[in-house]
Amino acid sequence: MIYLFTALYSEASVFIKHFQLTKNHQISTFQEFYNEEAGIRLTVTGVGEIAAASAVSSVCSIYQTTASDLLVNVGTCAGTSDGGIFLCNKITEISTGKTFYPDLLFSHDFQETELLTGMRVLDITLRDQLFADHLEGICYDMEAAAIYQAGSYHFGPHQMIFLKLVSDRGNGKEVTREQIDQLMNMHAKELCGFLEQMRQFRFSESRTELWSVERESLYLRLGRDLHCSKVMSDSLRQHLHYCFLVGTDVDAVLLDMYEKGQLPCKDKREGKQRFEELKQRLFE
Amino acid sequence: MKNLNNDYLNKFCSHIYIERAITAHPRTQKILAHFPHATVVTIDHYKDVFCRSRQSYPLQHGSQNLILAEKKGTLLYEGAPVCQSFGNQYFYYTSCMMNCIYDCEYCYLKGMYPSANLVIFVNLEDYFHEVEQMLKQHPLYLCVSYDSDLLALEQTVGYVKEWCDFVQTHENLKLEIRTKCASTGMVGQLAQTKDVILALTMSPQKVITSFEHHTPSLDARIAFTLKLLEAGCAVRLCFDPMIYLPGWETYYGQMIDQIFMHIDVNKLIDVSVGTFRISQDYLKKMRKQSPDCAVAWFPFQNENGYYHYPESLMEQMESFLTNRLAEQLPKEKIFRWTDN
Ligand code: SF4
Repeated sequence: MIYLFTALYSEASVFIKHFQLTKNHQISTFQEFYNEEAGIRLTVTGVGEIAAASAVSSVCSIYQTTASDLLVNVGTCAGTSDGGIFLCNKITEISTGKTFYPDLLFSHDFQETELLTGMRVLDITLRDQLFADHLEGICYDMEAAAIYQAGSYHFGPHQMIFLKLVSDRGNGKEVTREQIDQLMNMHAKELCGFLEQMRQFRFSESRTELWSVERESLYLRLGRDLHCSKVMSDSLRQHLHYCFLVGTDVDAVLLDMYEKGQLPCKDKREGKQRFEELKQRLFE
Repeated sequence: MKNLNNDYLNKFCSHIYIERAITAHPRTQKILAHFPHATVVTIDHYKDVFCRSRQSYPLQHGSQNLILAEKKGTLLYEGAPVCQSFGNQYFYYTSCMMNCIYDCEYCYLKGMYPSANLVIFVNLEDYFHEVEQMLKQHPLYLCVSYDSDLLALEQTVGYVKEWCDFVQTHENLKLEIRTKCASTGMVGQLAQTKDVILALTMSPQKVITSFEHHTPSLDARIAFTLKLLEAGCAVRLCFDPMIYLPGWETYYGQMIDQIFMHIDVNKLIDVSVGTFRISQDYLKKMRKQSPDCAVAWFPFQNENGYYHYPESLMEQMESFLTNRLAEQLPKEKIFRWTDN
């Protein structure tokens, strides 16, 4: 699932339209839109660090995010460079001076930038002060550092992506909703295309294939038939796990032992002995 | 890793993180020149990137980035109990590079480091200085390629050459450079002295194919050994770690046949034999990060915080290989790993 966070509805609407997201009326704190099939859940956080961190924390707790999920923050920002989409490779929170580095694993066609996150809307004075040292390009927003920090409780740095579109040069108060709509629409294809690509990505191999229901019940039955103690049972599981990974024909070995009447065992003592034999046979 | 679509991942060293303080360092500039298209991200301290929590080692390895930094504090460490000292009393190791471009499934670096990104410390002179200080007290046997494979990155970094040059001007210093690299073109650059031991890890082709991803084949490693011996280098073959897999005896036997067929093993300075062993903390992390890695999920035996194969299997595997080697090598040249 991709958990998408935007500060404003006008930053969200292109995704709502493209991925046909439906409003979740059961959530009242933040506006939430989702499409289970598309694997996207979008939250409009509101402006500012506290709102953003609250939304991330709330969404991640409600939906119990996993290692296969992705957090994406998309939004407009102020910047020294002209338009286009920027992927943030470094995010600094102005209030604390802390810097965060999302992983940069995925190939993309965007430009990259350093981003500063501040508590207030950028004005000309603050802009001149902050941007003075970054002539080659820097962006300023009001959420990313907070989203990263709140997200860190649930996601690794490889699961968090921050995309920013420059809407102004530090005169953010003058930017209208229509201008944001227009900017987002102008880049809708690239943004949605990137999310489509991310949806295809598999973060980790599922372990369910290794431990199917049949194998789980084989393990339980074997544990009973060997009269396993807790320690033996853990060891049995570990041996089976390894054998399943390397493709040992466990069934053939067990079938033979059952046919010979070596299994099930009559008591713990016999079970212990048979378990040693079983281990040996599995590693022959 | 299976099922990861590598088309989605950035290429090797697409990004280079550089500590602000060493941006202008000549080695930083030299290394950077090898990656003209990389995006540079300035950082304060390498740990700000390397030690972030919840990183995915396997994923990062698929798109490894580079961190250039300055190493402060202790630079030389006493050899760990799981490492072979080859009878040297003053056995130390050092890490002027962390992590490796190869991807061996059993590599302890996966359990030791929080990140798969490569770190290169550019202040090699500080390492040299610390070695010189130690040499004032006693001789030194120093392994410089433990937490990485220096030779595999030699064309880009050039540290093996720098260490070799350093050894030539310092007495009582012996270096071991452990590697799986087999780049025959590099032979001329390596020191032809008994004080630099090139320690090549040998594994059966089946082990290489199954677990030692992106490393040179057994044929290539044998060819490299031959070239090194021809050039007069001091070569050690390391059959360590031996990895269990069904049919291990056949695979290890075939490997020895192949080695005996091509290499006059008496020209080697020695060989080492040891089965896979690892600290319990590292193994725990490896299992968490790689739920499908067979080598890590073997049902090992835990002894004083270290995991190893069950005693009988360990004995069987190590004796087998030691006996095979003893067919052509005197016993004094065969070092079998023991923990005491
Ligand atoms: S070559 Fe050595 S350091 Fe590199 S991955 Fe393999 S075991 Fe680890």
